[in-house]
Amino acid sequence: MMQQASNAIEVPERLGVAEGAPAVLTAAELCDGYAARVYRFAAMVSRGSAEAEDLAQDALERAIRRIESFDARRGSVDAWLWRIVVNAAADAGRVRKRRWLLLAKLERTRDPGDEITPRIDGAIGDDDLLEAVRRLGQRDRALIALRFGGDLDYAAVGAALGMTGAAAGVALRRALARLRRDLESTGHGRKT
Amino acid sequence: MTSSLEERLFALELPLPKGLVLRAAAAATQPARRASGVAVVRPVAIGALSLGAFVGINAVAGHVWPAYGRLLADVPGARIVPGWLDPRTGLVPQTATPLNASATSAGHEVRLIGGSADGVRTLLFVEIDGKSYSDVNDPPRFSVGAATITDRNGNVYKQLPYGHNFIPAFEPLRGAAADGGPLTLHITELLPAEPGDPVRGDWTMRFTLVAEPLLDVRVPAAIVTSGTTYEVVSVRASREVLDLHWRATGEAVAQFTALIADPPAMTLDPTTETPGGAGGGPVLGRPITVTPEFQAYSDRIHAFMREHFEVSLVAPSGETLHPFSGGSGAPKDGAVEGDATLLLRGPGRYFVRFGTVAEMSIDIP
Repeated sequence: MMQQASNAIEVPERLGVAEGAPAVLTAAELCDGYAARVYRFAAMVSRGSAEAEDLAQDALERAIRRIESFDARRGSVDAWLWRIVVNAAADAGRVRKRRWLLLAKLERTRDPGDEITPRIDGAIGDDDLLEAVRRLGQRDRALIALRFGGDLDYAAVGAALGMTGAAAGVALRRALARLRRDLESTGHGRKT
Repeated sequence: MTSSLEERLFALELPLPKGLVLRAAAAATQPARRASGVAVVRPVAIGALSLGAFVGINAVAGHVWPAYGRLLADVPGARIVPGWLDPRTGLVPQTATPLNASATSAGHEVRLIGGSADGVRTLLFVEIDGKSYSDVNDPPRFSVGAATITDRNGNVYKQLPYGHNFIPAFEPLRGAAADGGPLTLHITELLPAEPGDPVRGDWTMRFTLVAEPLLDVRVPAAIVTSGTTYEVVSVRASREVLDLHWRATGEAVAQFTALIADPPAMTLDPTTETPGGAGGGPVLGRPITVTPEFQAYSDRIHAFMREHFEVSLVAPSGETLHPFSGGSGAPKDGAVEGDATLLLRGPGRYFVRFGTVAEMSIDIP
Protein backbone atom coordinates (compact mmCIF):
# COMPACT_ATOMS: atom_id res chain seq x y z
CA MET A 1 0.00 0.00 0.00
CA MET A 2 1.40 3.34 -1.02
CA GLN A 3 1.89 5.89 1.67
CA GLN A 4 -0.26 8.96 1.20
CA ALA A 5 1.80 11.86 -0.06
CA SER A 6 2.34 14.66 2.38
CA ASN A 7 2.21 17.20 -0.41
CA ALA A 8 -1.18 16.17 -1.72
CA ILE A 9 -3.34 19.07 -2.72
CA GLU A 10 -6.76 19.26 -1.24
CA VAL A 11 -9.18 20.64 -3.80
CA PRO A 12 -12.42 21.86 -2.33
CA GLU A 13 -15.44 20.33 -3.92
CA ARG A 14 -17.15 22.86 -6.10
CA LEU A 15 -18.79 23.19 -9.42
CA GLY A 16 -16.44 23.23 -12.34
CA VAL A 17 -14.18 20.37 -11.39
CA ALA A 18 -13.47 18.43 -14.55
CA GLU A 19 -15.33 15.17 -14.80
CA GLY A 20 -13.14 12.29 -13.78
CA ALA A 21 -10.47 14.50 -12.31
CA PRO A 22 -9.44 13.44 -8.82
CA ALA A 23 -9.91 16.04 -6.12
CA VAL A 24 -6.56 15.08 -4.67
CA LEU A 25 -3.57 14.07 -6.76
CA THR A 26 -0.57 12.56 -5.10
CA ALA A 27 2.73 11.61 -6.62
CA ALA A 28 2.01 8.00 -5.79
CA GLU A 29 -1.32 8.12 -7.61
CA LEU A 30 0.29 9.91 -10.51
CA CYS A 31 2.92 7.21 -10.90
CA ASP A 32 0.52 4.33 -10.30
CA GLY A 33 -2.01 5.61 -12.78
CA TYR A 34 0.10 7.09 -15.53
CA ALA A 35 3.70 5.88 -15.48
CA ALA A 36 3.02 2.92 -17.76
CA ARG A 37 1.34 5.15 -20.35
CA VAL A 38 4.08 7.73 -20.12
CA TYR A 39 6.62 5.01 -20.82
CA ARG A 40 4.61 3.68 -23.77
CA PHE A 41 4.60 7.20 -25.18
CA ALA A 42 8.34 7.56 -24.58
CA ALA A 43 9.12 4.19 -26.14
CA MET A 44 7.35 5.20 -29.33
CA VAL A 45 8.52 8.77 -29.59
CA SER A 46 12.17 8.02 -28.85
CA ARG A 47 14.67 6.61 -31.28
CA GLY A 48 15.93 3.96 -28.89
CA SER A 49 15.17 2.22 -25.64
CA ALA A 50 17.82 4.00 -23.60
CA GLU A 51 16.50 7.35 -24.76
CA ALA A 52 12.95 6.19 -24.02
CA GLU A 53 13.84 5.42 -20.44
CA ASP A 54 15.59 8.76 -20.07
CA LEU A 55 12.60 10.60 -21.46
CA ALA A 56 10.03 8.72 -19.39
CA GLN A 57 12.04 9.30 -16.25
CA ASP A 58 12.47 12.98 -17.02
CA ALA A 59 8.78 13.43 -17.79
CA LEU A 60 7.69 11.70 -14.59
CA GLU A 61 10.23 13.67 -12.60
CA ARG A 62 8.88 16.93 -14.00
CA ALA A 63 5.31 15.91 -13.28
CA ILE A 64 6.13 15.00 -9.69
CA ARG A 65 7.94 18.28 -9.21
CA ARG A 66 4.98 20.20 -10.57
CA ILE A 67 2.27 18.19 -8.91
CA GLU A 68 1.21 21.25 -6.97
CA SER A 69 0.40 23.01 -10.22
CA PHE A 70 -2.32 20.49 -11.00
CA ASP A 71 -5.68 22.10 -10.48
CA ALA A 72 -8.66 19.81 -10.92
CA ARG A 73 -10.92 22.81 -11.47
CA ARG A 74 -9.06 23.67 -14.64
CA GLY A 75 -8.85 20.32 -16.33
CA SER A 76 -8.17 16.65 -16.10
CA VAL A 77 -4.98 14.99 -14.97
CA ASP A 78 -4.52 13.83 -18.56
CA ALA A 79 -4.59 17.35 -19.92
CA TRP A 80 -2.17 18.59 -17.30
CA LEU A 81 0.19 15.65 -17.51
CA TRP A 82 0.55 15.28 -21.26
CA ARG A 83 1.52 18.89 -21.74
CA ILE A 84 4.39 18.25 -19.34
CA VAL A 85 5.33 15.02 -21.08
CA VAL A 86 5.31 16.59 -24.53
CA ASN A 87 7.44 19.48 -23.31
CA ALA A 88 9.90 16.99 -21.84
CA ALA A 89 10.07 15.25 -25.21
CA ALA A 90 10.60 18.52 -27.03
CA ASP A 91 13.37 19.52 -24.63
CA ALA A 92 14.99 16.13 -25.01
CA GLY A 93 14.94 16.65 -28.75
CA ARG A 94 16.72 19.97 -28.50
CA VAL A 95 19.26 18.92 -25.92
CA ARG A 96 20.23 15.74 -27.66
CA LYS A 97 20.12 16.96 -31.21
CA ARG A 98 23.74 16.12 -31.75
CA ARG A 99 23.31 12.71 -30.22
CA TRP A 100 20.39 12.09 -32.55
CA LEU A 101 22.66 12.94 -35.43
CA LEU A 102 25.11 10.35 -34.22
CA LEU A 103 22.40 7.75 -33.82
CA ALA A 104 21.04 8.55 -37.24
CA LYS A 105 24.49 8.00 -38.66
CA LEU A 106 24.72 4.71 -36.85
CA GLU A 107 21.38 3.60 -38.21
CA ARG A 108 22.42 4.51 -41.72
CA THR A 109 25.54 2.42 -41.39
CA ARG A 110 23.69 -0.60 -40.11
CA ASP A 111 24.02 -3.70 -42.22
CA PRO A 112 20.70 -4.42 -43.96
CA GLY A 113 21.32 -8.06 -43.24
CA ASP A 114 20.67 -7.34 -39.59
CA GLU A 115 17.02 -6.56 -40.23
CA ILE A 116 14.55 -8.82 -38.60
CA THR A 117 13.02 -11.45 -40.84
CA PRO A 118 9.42 -10.60 -41.67
CA ARG A 119 6.83 -12.67 -39.91
CA ILE A 120 4.85 -15.28 -41.79
CA ASP A 121 2.07 -13.85 -43.99
CA GLY A 122 3.40 -10.35 -43.62
CA ALA A 123 2.34 -10.09 -39.99
CA ILE A 124 4.24 -7.43 -38.14
CA GLY A 125 6.24 -8.30 -35.08
CA ASP A 126 6.17 -5.90 -32.17
CA ASP A 127 9.83 -5.12 -32.54
CA ASP A 128 9.49 -4.49 -36.27
CA LEU A 129 6.55 -2.22 -35.70
CA LEU A 130 8.29 -0.26 -32.98
CA GLU A 131 11.36 0.20 -35.13
CA ALA A 132 9.19 1.43 -37.97
CA VAL A 133 7.54 3.98 -35.68
CA ARG A 134 10.96 5.12 -34.57
CA ARG A 135 12.03 5.66 -38.16
CA LEU A 136 9.28 8.24 -38.65
CA GLY A 137 9.87 11.95 -38.32
CA GLN A 138 9.66 13.57 -34.92
CA ARG A 139 6.19 15.01 -35.41
CA ASP A 140 4.73 11.75 -36.70
CA ARG A 141 6.28 9.89 -33.79
CA ALA A 142 4.78 12.34 -31.32
CA LEU A 143 1.30 11.97 -32.82
CA ILE A 144 1.44 8.19 -32.86
CA ALA A 145 3.00 7.98 -29.42
CA LEU A 146 0.33 10.18 -27.86
CA ARG A 147 -2.54 8.34 -29.57
CA PHE A 148 -1.36 4.76 -29.23
CA GLY A 149 1.17 5.00 -26.42
CA GLY A 150 -0.62 7.55 -24.26
CA ASP A 151 -4.04 6.27 -25.31
CA LEU A 152 -5.33 9.79 -25.87
CA ASP A 153 -8.23 10.74 -28.09
CA TYR A 154 -7.81 13.23 -30.92
CA ALA A 155 -8.82 16.20 -28.79
CA ALA A 156 -6.28 15.32 -26.12
CA VAL A 157 -3.57 14.68 -28.70
CA GLY A 158 -4.30 18.06 -30.19
CA ALA A 159 -4.26 19.78 -26.82
CA ALA A 160 -0.91 18.25 -25.98
CA LEU A 161 0.60 19.38 -29.27
CA GLY A 162 -1.05 22.77 -29.46
CA MET A 163 -3.51 22.06 -32.27
CA THR A 164 -7.19 21.37 -32.61
CA GLY A 165 -8.54 17.88 -32.27
CA ALA A 166 -9.60 17.86 -35.90
CA ALA A 167 -6.15 18.90 -37.05
CA ALA A 168 -4.63 16.22 -34.84
CA GLY A 169 -6.89 13.64 -36.45
CA VAL A 170 -5.82 14.64 -39.94
CA ALA A 171 -2.15 14.74 -38.97
CA LEU A 172 -2.43 11.36 -37.30
CA ARG A 173 -3.99 9.77 -40.37
CA ARG A 174 -1.12 11.10 -42.46
CA ALA A 175 1.41 9.77 -39.96
CA LEU A 176 -0.22 6.36 -40.09
CA ALA A 177 -0.12 6.45 -43.86
CA ARG A 178 3.60 7.15 -43.76
CA LEU A 179 4.09 4.33 -41.26
CA ARG A 180 2.15 1.97 -43.50
CA ARG A 181 4.26 2.95 -46.52
CA ASP A 182 7.41 2.35 -44.53
CA LEU A 183 6.23 -1.08 -43.46
CA GLU A 184 5.24 -1.95 -46.99
CA SER A 185 8.59 -0.83 -48.33
CA THR A 186 10.39 -3.12 -45.90
CA GLY A 187 8.17 -6.08 -46.67
CA HIS A 188 6.19 -6.01 -43.44
CA GLY A 189 2.83 -5.00 -44.79
CA ARG A 190 0.40 -5.82 -47.51
CA LYS A 191 -0.95 -3.25 -49.87
CA THR A 192 -4.69 -2.95 -49.90
CA MET B 1 -4.43 -2.25 -43.32
CA THR B 2 -4.84 0.97 -41.35
CA SER B 3 -7.37 -0.39 -38.90
CA SER B 4 -5.27 -3.46 -38.16
CA LEU B 5 -2.23 -1.25 -37.93
CA GLU B 6 -3.96 0.87 -35.32
CA GLU B 7 -4.92 -2.24 -33.40
CA ARG B 8 -1.34 -3.42 -33.50
CA LEU B 9 -0.09 -0.07 -32.24
CA PHE B 10 -2.54 -0.13 -29.37
CA ALA B 11 -1.50 -3.70 -28.59
CA LEU B 12 2.25 -3.04 -28.63
CA GLU B 13 3.69 -4.43 -25.45
CA LEU B 14 5.87 -1.73 -23.95
CA PRO B 15 6.05 -2.52 -20.26
CA LEU B 16 7.38 -0.05 -17.78
CA PRO B 17 11.07 -0.75 -17.10
CA LYS B 18 11.83 -1.97 -13.65
CA GLY B 19 12.82 0.82 -11.30
CA LEU B 20 12.00 3.69 -13.64
CA VAL B 21 9.31 5.15 -11.40
CA LEU B 22 11.58 4.96 -8.42
CA ARG B 23 14.37 6.71 -10.26
CA ALA B 24 12.02 9.47 -11.37
CA ALA B 25 10.70 9.91 -7.86
CA ALA B 26 14.22 9.93 -6.47
CA ALA B 27 15.29 12.57 -8.97
CA ALA B 28 12.30 14.72 -8.08
CA THR B 29 13.51 14.88 -4.51
CA GLN B 30 16.72 16.54 -5.61
CA PRO B 31 17.19 20.24 -6.43
CA ALA B 32 16.31 20.97 -10.04
CA ARG B 33 19.14 20.24 -12.42
CA ARG B 34 20.38 22.79 -14.85
CA ALA B 35 19.72 22.07 -18.47
CA SER B 36 22.65 20.10 -19.76
CA GLY B 37 23.50 19.67 -23.39
CA VAL B 38 26.27 17.20 -22.96
CA ALA B 39 26.03 15.01 -19.97
CA VAL B 40 22.57 14.19 -18.74
CA VAL B 41 23.35 12.36 -15.57
CA ARG B 42 20.60 10.12 -14.36
CA PRO B 43 20.41 9.09 -10.74
CA VAL B 44 21.09 5.46 -10.12
CA ALA B 45 18.28 3.21 -9.06
CA ILE B 46 17.63 3.10 -5.37
CA GLY B 47 15.67 -0.07 -5.10
CA ALA B 48 15.23 -0.27 -1.39
CA LEU B 49 13.55 3.09 -0.93
CA SER B 50 9.79 3.20 -1.03
CA LEU B 51 7.85 5.63 -3.18
CA GLY B 52 6.06 6.92 -0.12
CA ALA B 53 9.35 7.98 1.37
CA PHE B 54 10.24 9.81 -1.79
CA VAL B 55 7.01 11.72 -1.77
CA GLY B 56 7.54 12.83 1.78
CA ILE B 57 11.00 14.13 1.00
CA ASN B 58 9.73 15.87 -2.09
CA ALA B 59 7.56 18.13 0.01
CA VAL B 60 10.75 19.63 1.41
CA ALA B 61 12.86 19.62 -1.72
CA GLY B 62 10.32 21.05 -4.12
CA HIS B 63 10.69 24.70 -3.23
CA VAL B 64 13.89 25.65 -4.94
CA TRP B 65 12.96 29.06 -6.24
CA PRO B 66 12.13 30.77 -2.95
CA ALA B 67 15.56 29.69 -1.79
CA TYR B 68 17.08 31.47 -4.75
CA GLY B 69 14.96 34.48 -3.98
CA ARG B 70 16.28 34.60 -0.45
CA LEU B 71 19.80 34.14 -1.74
CA LEU B 72 19.45 37.07 -4.07
CA ALA B 73 17.99 39.27 -1.40
CA ASP B 74 21.42 39.18 0.21
CA VAL B 75 23.30 39.99 -2.98
CA PRO B 76 24.16 43.68 -3.41
CA GLY B 77 22.66 45.09 -6.58
CA ALA B 78 20.33 42.17 -7.03
CA ARG B 79 17.17 43.99 -6.07
CA ILE B 80 15.98 44.30 -9.63
CA VAL B 81 13.95 41.15 -9.53
CA PRO B 82 14.60 38.53 -6.90
CA GLY B 83 14.71 35.15 -8.49
CA TRP B 84 16.64 36.14 -11.56
CA LEU B 85 19.47 33.84 -10.74
CA ASP B 86 18.76 30.81 -12.82
CA PRO B 87 21.10 27.85 -12.91
CA ARG B 88 20.19 27.21 -16.53
CA THR B 89 21.29 30.60 -17.78
CA GLY B 90 23.98 31.32 -15.25
CA LEU B 91 22.99 34.93 -14.85
CA VAL B 92 25.11 36.92 -12.47
CA PRO B 93 22.52 39.43 -11.29
CA GLN B 94 24.92 42.34 -10.93
CA THR B 95 25.30 42.47 -14.70
CA ALA B 96 21.58 42.78 -15.42
CA THR B 97 20.18 46.09 -16.59
CA PRO B 98 16.64 47.06 -15.59
CA LEU B 99 14.39 47.69 -18.58
CA ASN B 100 10.83 48.87 -18.76
CA ALA B 101 8.88 48.26 -21.91
CA SER B 102 5.62 46.50 -22.47
CA ALA B 103 3.25 45.47 -25.21
CA THR B 104 -0.23 44.05 -25.23
CA SER B 105 -1.62 41.80 -27.91
CA ALA B 106 -4.23 39.06 -28.01
CA GLY B 107 -5.30 40.10 -24.54
CA HIS B 108 -1.93 39.46 -22.90
CA GLU B 109 0.61 41.93 -21.63
CA VAL B 110 4.30 41.13 -21.96
CA ARG B 111 6.64 43.36 -19.99
CA LEU B 112 10.36 43.49 -20.59
CA ILE B 113 11.88 44.04 -17.18
CA GLY B 114 15.59 43.52 -17.68
CA GLY B 115 18.41 42.35 -19.82
CA SER B 116 22.00 41.27 -19.83
CA ALA B 117 24.29 41.28 -22.87
CA ASP B 118 27.87 40.32 -23.55
CA GLY B 119 29.91 38.99 -26.39
CA VAL B 120 28.58 35.48 -25.95
CA ARG B 121 24.84 35.94 -25.57
CA THR B 122 21.97 38.28 -24.86
CA LEU B 123 19.51 37.47 -22.09
CA LEU B 124 16.15 39.17 -21.63
CA PHE B 125 13.79 38.94 -18.69
CA VAL B 126 10.07 39.20 -19.10
CA GLU B 127 6.90 39.09 -17.09
CA ILE B 128 3.65 38.01 -18.66
CA ASP B 129 0.34 39.38 -17.44
CA GLY B 130 2.17 40.83 -14.46
CA LYS B 131 3.47 37.51 -13.26
CA SER B 132 7.08 36.50 -12.81
CA TYR B 133 8.28 32.96 -13.16
CA SER B 134 10.08 33.26 -9.87
CA ASP B 135 6.79 33.34 -7.97
CA VAL B 136 6.13 29.65 -7.43
CA ASN B 137 2.89 30.35 -5.63
CA ASP B 138 1.35 32.21 -8.54
CA PRO B 139 3.29 31.32 -11.67
CA PRO B 140 2.53 32.84 -15.06
CA ARG B 141 -0.02 31.14 -17.26
CA PHE B 142 2.12 31.70 -20.35
CA SER B 143 5.75 31.79 -21.36
CA VAL B 144 7.67 33.15 -24.35
CA GLY B 145 7.55 30.96 -27.45
CA ALA B 146 8.85 32.37 -30.71
CA ALA B 147 10.85 35.60 -30.45
CA THR B 148 13.67 37.48 -32.15
CA ILE B 149 15.66 40.65 -31.56
CA THR B 150 16.44 42.99 -34.42
CA ASP B 151 18.63 46.06 -34.60
CA ARG B 152 18.24 49.11 -36.77
CA ASN B 153 20.70 47.74 -39.32
CA GLY B 154 18.44 44.81 -40.00
CA ASN B 155 20.49 42.25 -38.09
CA VAL B 156 18.35 39.52 -36.58
CA TYR B 157 19.44 37.85 -33.36
CA LYS B 158 17.92 34.40 -33.03
CA GLN B 159 17.13 32.53 -29.86
CA LEU B 160 19.81 30.22 -28.50
CA PRO B 161 18.83 26.69 -27.50
CA TYR B 162 19.43 27.06 -23.79
CA GLY B 163 17.26 29.98 -22.75
CA HIS B 164 14.53 29.73 -20.17
CA ASN B 165 11.03 30.56 -21.34
CA PHE B 166 11.00 33.68 -19.17
CA ILE B 167 14.65 34.41 -19.78
CA PRO B 168 15.01 33.87 -23.50
CA ALA B 169 18.61 33.82 -24.68
CA PHE B 170 19.64 35.31 -28.01
CA GLU B 171 22.76 35.54 -30.10
CA PRO B 172 25.27 38.19 -28.99
CA LEU B 173 24.71 41.74 -30.20
CA ARG B 174 26.96 43.05 -32.93
CA GLY B 175 28.27 46.40 -34.03
CA ALA B 176 26.36 49.48 -32.96
CA ALA B 177 23.70 47.34 -31.33
CA ALA B 178 26.24 46.18 -28.77
CA ASP B 179 27.05 49.81 -27.89
CA GLY B 180 23.55 50.77 -26.90
CA GLY B 181 21.98 51.06 -30.33
CA PRO B 182 18.20 50.69 -30.52
CA LEU B 183 16.89 47.15 -30.43
CA THR B 184 13.48 45.63 -30.94
CA LEU B 185 12.20 42.53 -29.22
CA HIS B 186 9.55 40.90 -31.34
CA ILE B 187 7.56 38.11 -29.70
CA THR B 188 5.05 36.35 -31.92
CA GLU B 189 3.95 33.45 -29.76
CA LEU B 190 3.17 32.75 -26.13
CA LEU B 191 3.02 29.19 -24.90
CA PRO B 192 0.39 28.20 -22.35
CA ALA B 193 1.52 26.56 -19.16
CA GLU B 194 -1.60 24.44 -19.22
CA PRO B 195 -3.01 22.48 -22.14
CA GLY B 196 -4.21 24.74 -24.89
CA ASP B 197 -3.20 26.36 -28.11
CA PRO B 198 -0.29 28.78 -28.31
CA VAL B 199 -1.37 32.39 -28.39
CA ARG B 200 -0.15 34.20 -31.45
CA GLY B 201 0.16 37.95 -31.50
CA ASP B 202 2.55 40.81 -31.92
CA TRP B 203 4.37 41.95 -28.85
CA THR B 204 6.96 44.47 -29.99
CA MET B 205 9.12 46.33 -27.50
CA ARG B 206 12.02 48.67 -28.02
CA PHE B 207 15.00 48.83 -25.72
CA THR B 208 18.73 49.32 -25.59
CA LEU B 209 21.48 47.33 -23.95
CA VAL B 210 25.19 47.85 -23.76
CA ALA B 211 26.95 44.56 -24.19
CA GLU B 212 29.95 43.83 -22.09
CA PRO B 213 32.89 43.22 -24.39
CA LEU B 214 34.43 39.83 -24.77
CA LEU B 215 37.34 39.14 -22.48
CA ASP B 216 40.73 38.86 -24.07
CA VAL B 217 41.29 35.15 -23.75
CA ARG B 218 44.11 33.44 -25.52
CA VAL B 219 43.36 30.18 -27.29
CA PRO B 220 45.34 27.51 -25.47
CA ALA B 221 47.96 25.56 -27.34
CA ALA B 222 46.97 22.19 -28.72
CA ILE B 223 48.14 19.20 -26.78
CA VAL B 224 49.01 15.72 -27.94
CA THR B 225 48.48 12.72 -25.76
CA SER B 226 48.66 9.05 -26.70
CA GLY B 227 48.62 9.93 -30.35
CA THR B 228 45.57 12.17 -30.13
CA THR B 229 45.69 15.94 -30.71
CA TYR B 230 43.18 18.03 -28.78
CA GLU B 231 42.76 21.57 -29.99
CA VAL B 232 40.56 24.45 -28.89
CA VAL B 233 39.74 26.00 -32.24
CA SER B 234 38.03 29.13 -30.97
CA VAL B 235 37.10 30.58 -27.63
CA ARG B 236 34.82 33.37 -26.49
CA ALA B 237 34.48 34.44 -22.90
CA SER B 238 32.56 37.00 -20.94
CA ARG B 239 32.59 37.50 -17.22
CA GLU B 240 29.96 34.80 -16.91
CA VAL B 241 30.33 32.34 -19.73
CA LEU B 242 33.03 30.51 -21.64
CA ASP B 243 32.09 29.30 -25.09
CA LEU B 244 34.55 27.13 -26.95
CA HIS B 245 34.75 25.07 -30.09
CA TRP B 246 37.14 22.13 -30.02
CA ARG B 247 38.53 19.48 -32.30
CA ALA B 248 40.27 16.17 -31.80
CA THR B 249 42.26 14.20 -34.35
CA GLY B 250 44.46 11.14 -34.25
CA GLU B 251 44.39 7.88 -32.40
CA ALA B 252 41.27 8.38 -30.27
CA VAL B 253 39.29 9.44 -33.32
CA ALA B 254 40.50 6.40 -35.23
CA GLN B 255 39.49 4.16 -32.35
CA PHE B 256 36.11 5.87 -32.10
CA THR B 257 35.55 5.51 -35.83
CA ALA B 258 36.32 1.82 -35.61
CA LEU B 259 34.12 1.45 -32.55
CA ILE B 260 31.00 2.78 -34.23
CA ALA B 261 31.68 1.26 -37.65
CA ASP B 262 29.99 -2.07 -37.08
CA PRO B 263 26.94 -1.69 -34.88
CA PRO B 264 24.82 -4.71 -34.10
CA ALA B 265 21.14 -4.47 -34.97
CA MET B 266 19.24 -2.23 -32.59
CA THR B 267 16.60 -4.91 -32.15
CA LEU B 268 14.55 -5.66 -29.11
CA ASP B 269 14.95 -8.86 -27.22
CA PRO B 270 11.53 -10.53 -26.96
CA THR B 271 12.77 -13.33 -24.77
CA THR B 272 14.09 -11.47 -21.77
CA GLU B 273 12.06 -11.93 -18.65
CA THR B 274 12.36 -9.50 -15.79
CA PRO B 275 10.75 -10.48 -12.51
CA GLY B 276 8.60 -7.91 -10.77
CA GLY B 277 8.65 -7.45 -7.07
CA ALA B 278 8.83 -5.08 -4.18
CA GLY B 279 10.85 -1.98 -4.85
CA GLY B 280 11.08 -2.70 -8.54
CA GLY B 281 7.96 -0.91 -9.65
CA PRO B 282 5.23 -2.44 -11.74
CA VAL B 283 6.27 -4.81 -14.50
CA LEU B 284 3.54 -5.42 -17.02
CA GLY B 285 3.90 -8.15 -19.60
CA ARG B 286 7.22 -8.85 -21.13
CA PRO B 287 9.91 -6.21 -20.76
CA ILE B 288 11.34 -4.25 -23.63
CA THR B 289 15.08 -4.40 -23.84
CA VAL B 290 17.61 -4.14 -26.59
CA THR B 291 19.74 -7.14 -27.28
CA PRO B 292 22.70 -7.57 -24.94
CA GLU B 293 24.95 -7.05 -27.94
CA PHE B 294 23.50 -3.66 -28.74
CA GLN B 295 23.41 -2.61 -25.11
CA ALA B 296 27.07 -3.48 -24.75
CA TYR B 297 27.85 -1.65 -27.96
CA SER B 298 25.98 1.44 -26.77
CA ASP B 299 27.71 1.31 -23.40
CA ARG B 300 31.11 1.07 -25.08
CA ILE B 301 30.41 4.14 -27.19
CA HIS B 302 29.28 6.23 -24.27
CA ALA B 303 32.17 5.11 -22.11
CA PHE B 304 34.61 5.96 -24.87
CA MET B 305 33.07 9.39 -25.38
CA ARG B 306 33.18 10.07 -21.66
CA GLU B 307 36.82 9.05 -21.53
CA HIS B 308 38.00 10.98 -24.59
CA PHE B 309 35.56 13.66 -25.72
CA GLU B 310 33.48 14.85 -22.80
CA VAL B 311 34.49 18.41 -22.00
CA SER B 312 34.56 19.83 -18.49
CA LEU B 313 36.18 22.82 -16.89
CA VAL B 314 38.05 22.94 -13.62
CA ALA B 315 37.69 26.32 -11.89
CA PRO B 316 40.53 27.95 -9.97
CA SER B 317 38.86 26.74 -6.78
CA GLY B 318 39.07 23.17 -8.00
CA GLU B 319 35.35 22.94 -8.72
CA THR B 320 34.54 20.88 -11.81
CA LEU B 321 32.10 22.63 -14.13
CA HIS B 322 30.10 20.90 -16.83
CA PRO B 323 28.70 22.48 -20.00
CA PHE B 324 25.11 23.61 -19.92
CA SER B 325 24.98 23.56 -23.69
CA GLY B 326 26.98 21.89 -26.43
CA GLY B 327 27.94 18.45 -27.57
CA SER B 328 30.03 16.62 -30.10
CA GLY B 329 29.31 14.90 -33.37
CA ALA B 330 30.35 11.73 -35.09
CA PRO B 331 33.81 11.53 -36.65
CA LYS B 332 34.04 13.41 -39.93
CA ASP B 333 37.08 13.79 -42.11
CA GLY B 334 39.23 12.20 -39.44
CA ALA B 335 38.17 14.56 -36.67
CA VAL B 336 35.66 14.81 -33.88
CA GLU B 337 34.46 18.35 -33.27
CA GLY B 338 32.29 19.79 -30.58
CA ASP B 339 31.08 22.87 -28.74
CA ALA B 340 30.80 23.58 -25.05
CA THR B 341 29.30 26.52 -23.19
CA LEU B 342 30.16 26.67 -19.52
CA LEU B 343 29.60 29.04 -16.64
CA LEU B 344 32.63 30.74 -15.16
CA ARG B 345 33.42 31.38 -11.53
CA GLY B 346 35.35 34.61 -11.96
CA PRO B 347 38.87 35.33 -13.17
CA GLY B 348 41.76 32.96 -12.81
CA ARG B 349 43.38 29.94 -14.35
CA TYR B 350 40.96 27.27 -15.49
CA PHE B 351 41.65 23.87 -16.98
CA VAL B 352 39.74 22.51 -19.94
CA ARG B 353 39.52 18.75 -19.66
CA PHE B 354 38.78 16.29 -22.42
CA GLY B 355 37.39 13.23 -20.72
CA THR B 356 40.01 11.80 -18.45
CA VAL B 357 42.88 11.90 -20.87
CA ALA B 358 43.78 15.50 -21.69
CA GLU B 359 43.87 18.84 -19.96
CA MET B 360 44.95 22.32 -20.98
CA SER B 361 45.00 25.58 -19.06
CA ILE B 362 43.13 28.71 -20.05
CA ASP B 363 43.46 32.04 -18.27
CA ILE B 364 40.37 34.17 -17.71
CA PRO B 365 41.29 37.78 -16.92
